[in-house]
Formats: sequence, C-alpha cells, structure tokens
Amino acid sequence: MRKKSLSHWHALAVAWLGCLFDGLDASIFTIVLYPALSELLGTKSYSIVGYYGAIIIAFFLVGWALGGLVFGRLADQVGRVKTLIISILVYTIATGLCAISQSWQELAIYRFLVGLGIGGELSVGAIMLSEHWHGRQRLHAVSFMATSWGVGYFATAAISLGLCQASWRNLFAAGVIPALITLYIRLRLSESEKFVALQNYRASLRAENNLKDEQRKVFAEPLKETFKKEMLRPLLVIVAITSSGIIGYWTVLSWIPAWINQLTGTAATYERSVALMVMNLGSIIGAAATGFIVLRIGRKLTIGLAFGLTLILCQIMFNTIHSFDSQLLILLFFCGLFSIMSAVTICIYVPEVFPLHMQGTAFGLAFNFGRIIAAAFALISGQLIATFNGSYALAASALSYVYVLGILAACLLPTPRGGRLNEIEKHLKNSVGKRPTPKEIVSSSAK
Amino acid sequence: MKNINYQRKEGMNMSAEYNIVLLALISIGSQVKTLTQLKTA
Repeated sequence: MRKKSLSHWHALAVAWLGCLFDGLDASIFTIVLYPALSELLGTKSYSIVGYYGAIIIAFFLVGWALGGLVFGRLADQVGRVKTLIISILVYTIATGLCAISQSWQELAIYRFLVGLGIGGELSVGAIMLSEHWHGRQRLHAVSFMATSWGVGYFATAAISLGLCQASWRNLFAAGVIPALITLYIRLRLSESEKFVALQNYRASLRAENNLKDEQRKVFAEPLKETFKKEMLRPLLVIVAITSSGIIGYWTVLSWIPAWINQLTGTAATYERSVALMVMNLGSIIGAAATGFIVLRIGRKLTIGLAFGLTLILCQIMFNTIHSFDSQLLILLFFCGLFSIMSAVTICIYVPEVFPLHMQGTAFGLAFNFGRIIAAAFALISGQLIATFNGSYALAASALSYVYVLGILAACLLPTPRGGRLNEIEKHLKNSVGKRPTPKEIVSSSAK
Repeated sequence: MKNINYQRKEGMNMSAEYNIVLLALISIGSQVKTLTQLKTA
C-alpha cells in the first residue's frame, strides 16, 4: 500500500469543495430561471421566459468554454494553485453580481463571467487531482470529486426550499460563499510533485543550448501541440462525447424545473426543489459508482451505457409523465445517476491520453469546446420550445436524441497511451520516482 | 398539458421527504465507500 502525504488529501478537499461550489453556482440559475426572468421581463409567458432563458444559458456556456480554455492554458504556464484561486474568485464575485441584476442583459453578462470561472475551476481541479493521485486511486479520487457537483446542486435545491418565500436574488447572493475556499487553498495547497518537477525541468533546460527535439516540446505552445496529428483523434472523439453530454444536460435536463412549473401550473417551489434534490442524489451515487464501473467494464462501455440509459429514461419521462408524482421522481433519480457517468469517465480518461505539460490546455479544450456547440443548441432549444407551443417536454424529448452522438463517439474512443512515455515524462518519472519529502515539495513550489 | 388545478397530493410531502432522507443516506454511504478505496487501493 502506498501511503499518501497530506498534500494529496488537501488536493482532494480543494477539488471537492471547488466542484461543489461550481455545482451550486451553476445550478442557481436553472432553479430561479422562471421567477427571475418573469420579474426582469415583466411576463408570465413560458415561451418568452424560455426564449430569453435559453439566451442566458448560451452566454453562460460560452463563458464556461472560454474559461476552460483560458484558465487551462494559464494552469500549464503559471501553475494549478494560482489559477484555481483566480477562477474561484471570478465565479463567486460574478454570482454575487447576479443578485443585483436589473435587466436580462445584465444577468446574461454576469452569467457569462460565472461560466468563465467555473470552466477554469473544473478543468484545473480535475488535472490537479490526476497529478496527486495515481493508479486505481486516481479513478476513485476523480469519482469522489464529481460527487460534489451533485452535492452543490442538491444544496441549491435545499436552499431554495428553505427560502421558499425569499427572492431569487437571495439565492444568487448566497453564491458568494465559495470565495472563502480560496483562503484554504492559499494556506494549505501546494503544487503536485509532478508539476514542480516539470517546472524544475523547464528551468534546467533553459540553461542548455543544444536541446533535442523531444526536450524542446517542454517549451512548445500547448494549444498547438494539442492539434498535432497523434492528438487530434482522441481530441475530436472526446469533444464529441463531452458535447453530447453537455448539450443533453443544458438543453434537456436543465429545463426540468421549468417543466415542473408547467406541469403543476404553479410556482411549484416545493416540487422543483424536491425533483432537483432527488435527481442530484442520483448523480452523487452515479459519480461515486463510476470509478468502480470503469474498473469493471472499461471506459467505452461505461460512456456508451450511460448515454444509452439516459436517452431511454428521457424518452419515457418526457413522453409519459403528465403530472408531478412519484413516478417522475423515480425517473429523475435514475436520470441523475446515469447522466453524470460519461462526464466522470472523461475526467478519468483525459490525463491518460495527453502528456503532463499540456494537460491543462488539452483538458480545457476537450472538455469545454463542446460547450460552444451546446450554447448554439441552447438557443435552438428556446426556438424549439416556441415551436412546440411552449411545451418544454416535447422540446426536451426531441433534443435528448443528442445522446446518440455520445454513444457513437464512445465506440471510437482510442485506447490510452499506456506505456509510451515521451522524453519529458521519462524525466519526470525519474524525478518524481525519488519521492521528495513534503517539506521539499512545499519549499520548491514556494520558489 | 397545463394542469392549472394542480394540488399537492396528500401525504406526498411526507413520502417525498422520507425518500430524500433515505437517498441522502445512500449517497453519503456511496461517498464513504469511494473514500475508503482511496485509503486502501
């Protein structure tokens, strides 16, 4: 058994808390979409609220995609810890600003900034975990981190239930709490041994004149490296998988609270909260189980099954449910359980295919490019809702076929690199293999 | 489609809340199970 130092547990705690607050801040809008836009637009029309809600979701997703790219690249250059602090501050401050929005345009801009920070935090958090944890433990660590996404959503629903009579502005105001986590990161978290070794390797190579081609790669532009021939196929397949999951989430599942408003014909604060709590308890269990399932049946099959079962559940739910009852809650639970598995599996898979010096950029690109496409689909979903005479169920049922893309892409997923190590990783392997003491790691990261 | 006369079914609150507590306990259990794997894997 390999004993873990405290830095591994701090990394896990930070990734878990960061992801928790990502979930919290991302979900606030879906739960207050109808009351917030009704107030800002001065209308009760489902079609109009749906149309502008879709535009704001699109802003949020574009921000998320850009955040993943910008902060992912920054993490490769200046380090994971600093990037994590900046990204968390961006999304918490922007969530607080949402509380004082006076128009839908203002809300859209603040949601764009929230997306920017969340995109950065998620990418960097997942990469940082993969650097601190290895082997089977890495799979379970990523799974554990992903459970907090559901906990964040669950917390939003619970807060909403507790603040039934309170304004939607109070929910956004509560979203600034995560800023406190940056203090913990500043005090406790250090860069991983791997990243410190990479920085040291870069520093040692700067002094040399005749570098080999393999050694020059350490200074290469990570974005350019990601588009090289050997990386292009996994990149495209991952983009297709993440796009399918993200489009499905933001154009199908995120409309469920608004759909419940429609089913009940009331404000339905209690019903929306209960539905989201049940769905997210499913996603917590699904995320926790993903590590075990991947170990048993592999990455391809896990992703394929997750998408397939989510599609079936969506079809049953949106075509057969016409009132808020226990049958809906059971379907929502399983929807939450299966829909998260593909995202967790991709978080596990990305560090297996991209080398360390470009992982932040690759992760940001692979995991977030799909959000640009999802943003376009979010706009389409607004149009589709209007086309189906304001019926969220019919629009969501039609859009859920996007999961077929994910199933097809999963079949093409390349096998991870395995033992093929490049020059940089050989050096890092030897360097990290010496396993410096935690004191040495802290002092070298402080430099 | 729209059920304007919707009224929460009697007993639904209790039943839903009981199930949520039960699911919450299961989800905590699943997280603990994952954490134990980190200590022992």
